[in-house]
Amino acid sequence: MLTHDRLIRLCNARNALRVTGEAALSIDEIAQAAAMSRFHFVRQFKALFGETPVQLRTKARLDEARHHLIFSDAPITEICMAVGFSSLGSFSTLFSSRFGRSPSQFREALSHVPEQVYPDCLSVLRAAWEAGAQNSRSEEHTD
Amino acid sequence: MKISVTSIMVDDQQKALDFYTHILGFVKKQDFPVGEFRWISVVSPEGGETELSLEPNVNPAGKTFQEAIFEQGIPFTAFEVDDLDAEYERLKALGVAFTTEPTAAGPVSIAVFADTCGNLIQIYQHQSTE
Repeated sequence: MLTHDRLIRLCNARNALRVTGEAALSIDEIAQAAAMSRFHFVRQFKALFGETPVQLRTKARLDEARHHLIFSDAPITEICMAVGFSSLGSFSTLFSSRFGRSPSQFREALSHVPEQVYPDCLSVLRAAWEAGAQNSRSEEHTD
Repeated sequence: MKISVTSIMVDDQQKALDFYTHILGFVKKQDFPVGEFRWISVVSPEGGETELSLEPNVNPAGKTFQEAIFEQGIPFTAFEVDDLDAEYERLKALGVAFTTEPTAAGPVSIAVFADTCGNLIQIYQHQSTE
């Protein structure tokens, strides 16, 4: 069973994995801070959070890149490097895989709907319904 | 007035769909794309019409709340089971991490596990009154 103390240590490890840039610690250092061997750390981390520490770190970097794309005008290459990726190609591929569009497409789409950065669920449903209704109308016109 | 849909915040919708269907055994009811996210809901195969929506926790306000109660060891929600011990053993065998083993708690027995998506979930069984 996972004790509360161990739960807290694993949560602290998750927070450490989200740190990007030069302050980022290695997986071994984070496991050591959690007072676990690397093997047990990775195993328990995955059981708790459903992904390995490396996978979580990658996602955290992508989430931070998404944040910068929304709230800054920095060039995409600069954002890529700032969050810890060394290759623009792999950054773009991973970003597309996580968010369904490339960083440049994401920023382009955002410029049309700046007020919908964090849409609530009713807005999301309404948008889906309106898109569906629009598609239906388009299909009627093409008949 | 009826409660037909309720929701839970998840840190990754696909991971959540996998866990809630393949591990917990719920059935996918809805799944359609909405922008960069999806509208996903699951239902219990044991009946009842209430859908559980798996919502992305992209809003920092929601994420802060979710992580705070997780670290405090507080379950986000609870599901009823017929046989708590059997469900505990089944989930444990599938690698699910429990923070509370089956424990008597007044009129119910409870256990708590992590859903791998940022939440602790409580399962409970009503104590027999016979």
